[in-house]
Amino acid sequence: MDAQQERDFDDYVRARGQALMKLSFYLVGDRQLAEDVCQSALVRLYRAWPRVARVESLDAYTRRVVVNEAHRWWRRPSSRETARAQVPDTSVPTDTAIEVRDELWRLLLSLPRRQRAVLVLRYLEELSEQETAMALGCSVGTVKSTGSKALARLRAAAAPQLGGVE
Amino acid sequence: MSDTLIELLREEAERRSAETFSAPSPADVRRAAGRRRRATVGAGASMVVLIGAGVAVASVSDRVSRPAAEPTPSVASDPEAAAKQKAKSLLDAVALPPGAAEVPVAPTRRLQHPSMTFGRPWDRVVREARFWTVAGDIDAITDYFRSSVQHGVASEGGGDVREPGVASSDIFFGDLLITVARVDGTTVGIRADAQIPWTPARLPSERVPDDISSIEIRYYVGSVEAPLALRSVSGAEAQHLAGLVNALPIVVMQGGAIRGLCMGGLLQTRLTFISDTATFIITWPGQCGSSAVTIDGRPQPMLRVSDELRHAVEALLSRPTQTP
Repeated sequence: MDAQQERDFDDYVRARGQALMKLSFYLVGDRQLAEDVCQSALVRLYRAWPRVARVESLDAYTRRVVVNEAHRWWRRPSSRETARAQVPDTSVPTDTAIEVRDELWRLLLSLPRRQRAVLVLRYLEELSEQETAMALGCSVGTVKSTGSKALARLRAAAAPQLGGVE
Repeated sequence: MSDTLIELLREEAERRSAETFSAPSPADVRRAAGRRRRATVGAGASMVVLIGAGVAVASVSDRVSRPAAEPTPSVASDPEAAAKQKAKSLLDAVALPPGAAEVPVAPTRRLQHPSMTFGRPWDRVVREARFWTVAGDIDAITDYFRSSVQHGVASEGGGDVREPGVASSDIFFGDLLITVARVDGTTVGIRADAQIPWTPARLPSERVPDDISSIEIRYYVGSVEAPLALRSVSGAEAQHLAGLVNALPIVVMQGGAIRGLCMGGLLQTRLTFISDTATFIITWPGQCGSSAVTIDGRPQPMLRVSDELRHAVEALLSRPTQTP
């Protein structure tokens, strides 16, 4: 990698590091793990950097690497149990809205990894279906069906908390 | 219901991520890259490995076909036609492993979509793909392409996925992306994607009129009639801004949205170019990369706002207002 590419990489990491950390956090649900995932993804990005500048959307490419890294983490035998155990109780709910949101977050983290990834990319990162498909390496149809299943699952699980919320 | 669900989820995600994250620094990444490179030597292909540029450059195989010459568009005045012609030329000249046979559709689901897309967000991109199958082992076919030269370009890197049930590799050659994937125990599928970006030229009628007398700059939230900052410039400054605006490329909508470009924000910047011929207005929100343009109230193609224009406008807005 030449000096200019090194500088470009530095600029990119400085500009997008926070956003990538946020995505990692949404995917794995834990700050420390998110840092690991994000750093691993950036290492892969660094190695691929000389030709990555050609990629249409660097963010789209990097998101794919982050999702892959999160998947690698999810595949570890104890990872999912760890995720649930480490969902932080950041506050004592004081009103219904907070309780509901808190529960939704827990439910999100309990979804199968692909369903969670679709919800995170589509609705928290606000990607299009096509962009989500690119990030996950699947078809748009799979994104639609997986997203639909994920929402249904979330809705069913959250029904007691959501009550009459429609 | 889903909308409510999603809104609640978004609120919670924002709340939980409101605190600043400590993102890895570039130096951290380099150190980790050094450590991991050493650690993965000899680890085999049981994990995803992104191959750095230049890995295969020094081992071009004798089996490689003669590199095809870079196609020269005969329709240079039509950028889309030129891009199509270049895409076709690249695909016609793919240097294939012996025994490869073209097939009309993706031979495996893994090859139904390009593994990566090229082009800047505001480009239009001609995307063409062709498919082949070949008998052999995926590692051998991957090695073949890594050591090949395609349209005069040696492999620029790529990535491998080797997991139970999934085996595929991407190899980049300039505007050409080769993806190989295992079809079954004895067959490998090959997908070649030629992705040629092109940007439509702006028509003379879509430009700032030549006879502008001044430019009014408004920086506002909500109502343009109650700006937070208001400046008027003329002469050389106005001509300079007009030149910057005329140099902006057209934003190309992809999938009905320009995601990834817009950083959001309610703050708007509006430049109104005043002339006897027409009133040209360009408006962009916050740090968004895209802008809305009208000429005499008629919508024009959206333009991608350059940093140079943004900085020039910011400099003008931050200049102290002259008092009478």
